[in-house]
Amino acid sequence: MRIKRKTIYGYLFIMPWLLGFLLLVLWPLIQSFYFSLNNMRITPVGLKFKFVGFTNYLDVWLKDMFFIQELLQFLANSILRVPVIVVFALIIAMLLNEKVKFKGAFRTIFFLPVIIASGPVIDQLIGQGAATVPLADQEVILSTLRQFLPMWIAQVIAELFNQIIIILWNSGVQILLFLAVLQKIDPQLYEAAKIDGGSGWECFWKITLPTIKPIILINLIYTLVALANSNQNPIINLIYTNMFSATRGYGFASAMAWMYAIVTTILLIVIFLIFREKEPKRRKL
Amino acid sequence: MNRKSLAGLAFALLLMLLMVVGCSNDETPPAAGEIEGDKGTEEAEKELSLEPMTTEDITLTYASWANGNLNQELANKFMEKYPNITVELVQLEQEGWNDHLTNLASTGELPDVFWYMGNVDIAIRNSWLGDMTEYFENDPESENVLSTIKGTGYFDGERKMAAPVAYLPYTIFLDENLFNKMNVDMPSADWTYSEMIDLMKEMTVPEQGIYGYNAFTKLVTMAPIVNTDGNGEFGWDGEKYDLTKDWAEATTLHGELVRSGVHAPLFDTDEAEAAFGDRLLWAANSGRLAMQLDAWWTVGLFSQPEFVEKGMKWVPYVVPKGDNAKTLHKPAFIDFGSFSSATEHPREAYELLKFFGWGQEGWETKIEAFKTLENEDGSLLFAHPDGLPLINNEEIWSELRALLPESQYYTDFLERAKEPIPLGGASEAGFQTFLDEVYFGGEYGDVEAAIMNGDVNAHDIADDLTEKINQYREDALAELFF
Repeated sequence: MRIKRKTIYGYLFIMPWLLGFLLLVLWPLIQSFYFSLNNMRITPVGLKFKFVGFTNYLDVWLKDMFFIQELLQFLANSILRVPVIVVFALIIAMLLNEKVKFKGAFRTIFFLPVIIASGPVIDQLIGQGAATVPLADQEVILSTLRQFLPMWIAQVIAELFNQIIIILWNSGVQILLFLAVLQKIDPQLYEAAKIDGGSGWECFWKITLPTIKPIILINLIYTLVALANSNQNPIINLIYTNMFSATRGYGFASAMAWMYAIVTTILLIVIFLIFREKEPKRRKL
Repeated sequence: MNRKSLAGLAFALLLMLLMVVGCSNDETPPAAGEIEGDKGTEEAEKELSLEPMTTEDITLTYASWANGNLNQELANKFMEKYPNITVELVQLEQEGWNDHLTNLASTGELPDVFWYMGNVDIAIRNSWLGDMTEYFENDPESENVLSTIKGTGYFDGERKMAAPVAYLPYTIFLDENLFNKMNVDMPSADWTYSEMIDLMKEMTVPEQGIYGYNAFTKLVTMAPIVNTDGNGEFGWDGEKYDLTKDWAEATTLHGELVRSGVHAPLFDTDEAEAAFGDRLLWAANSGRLAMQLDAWWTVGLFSQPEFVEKGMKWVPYVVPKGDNAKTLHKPAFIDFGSFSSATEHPREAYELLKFFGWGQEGWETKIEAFKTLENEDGSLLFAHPDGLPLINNEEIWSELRALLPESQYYTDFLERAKEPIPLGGASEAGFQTFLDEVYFGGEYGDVEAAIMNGDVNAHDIADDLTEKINQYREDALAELFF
């Protein structure tokens, strides 16, 4: 079979990514799974392994009192934060899609936090109180919410307000994705709708939203993965702490990371099932 | 008398004369025991010597979080003494120190000589610690090490695998001006634990907003050591922990003192805001605190003009001795170091560890560095010495004394600071892991907070905690033979 020249070019173009994926993603994944099945020591003369099967996975659930606690907290936070970020991104994208002056500058401003507010920078900003709106006193919000909500829900919502700026800063990439798809919508659709007397509100629900629905799914997935991997996430810190713990180490931490990945994947599947494109039901004649 | 008899008599007289002359010699012949003794000393001297250092050109890597300039000064001096050895200082961030060591170990680059931070379990579990028994026990300089820390680092009771390298004592600061203002006599330098507690209560005057004490270092660490002449935290007697007595009493007492307002309001609380008008104000900076339970490094901070201008005069006291104590055992922040189990030059690595830690020549270099090292603006790098000597050497101690303020308080302090007891994390296997997994993160949550809040009774959980900490020790020791 003769391989087409274009096929070779195609493979050459994706080769850097492919190599990166194999070396920096797949290989570490295999390694971490192997680590998770072992009791691992990092000695000055090399790594030593003692096979323990799935004991580490059991220990994650049975011996670590913080894992379940943090996992539930993460789930509660995600349910609130993911829609807030995506809706905010959509609103900003629609505004930036309008014909306004300095559109490019505004787009830069909204994307800037993605570049600068990463890792240690964001830690510093949070430490200095830059993540909160001074007027939104968390204590007041919490005490108000506690009057009609259970404590654990009230805390999650209060925490949302406490970190609202950071949460909104996480919307840069999503804004770009929405912008891209908004610009792809055929203006003739809006023209036709307006000729038929459709209001802006109706156009949004009948044209914009159905058109961008696949991107909403992508953004939801992107946002959840970004939150799950954020170094602000206590579970990531918990995994890190266990990695360097005297008695637990890389084996236990790898098992915890895998369990966390599975839980996150289940969440992603749930989101996918809710927001996937469904075949339109045929009308019965 | 015939001629034969005369000759015999003469011979006998000659013999007697020779004996008298012999016995009149100033040099008394040594007794049998003395001969054996001398022989013993010779053998001892022979035993107490280390194998010679290599003459080949070698390089040793060294990592510690001590001041970088001081480290460089020590490294230069060491290389001057051993020109064939190159010392390379490994720069690591102090935050996450053990994590950085782990990363280095994973790539086979663990420094030849290193300090580990606070938690020996990581070093034990990963087999980082070299066995220095042979060197330490045959080193004449080991005799100089302070008596209470000489025997540390023998985690399994047989092999010396780590050694103290830096010593910062627990220090209790008293505001002399506040004591004078309240017409309360300053305690004696030989004060006792009960006297300290009584003074805390006496100096608490709620109507004037004056508080007895504020704790950074804790009563729960001090009490079991000073009251029982203990060798470690949590009632450690050298073999077992026992939290049922002094630990339980001290945590309970601390809780009572916090609730009754003898302890200053806790940092960043509504109570602190109500008391000082600033929830983030350090109680020791309020001018309304009698005692700050702290550590030696705060000496420098309290000498800053900020405190003097506010009318405070903080003076250092050692942790008081137990009411019936026979020793001057006192808790101290003692850092430990070792050489890598994989180093190709263990003998030389030991010498380097000693030089930077407890070696006399190293300490002479340090004293000189404290006097001479300067910042870029010409001011002295060390406003006060960085830590106390780990050795019994009067000359070193008196030179160090000369670098401290001229006050009897400092003289008294140093005289009573020669029996430090290290905290458990760095010096006892399993201790830190127990703290992480049980004491601060187990079924009771933060044990001390739970007791302070009155959620649990210390005496009710002391047996359980005692059993667990001893088990953690056993488990950690098993790791030494992994």
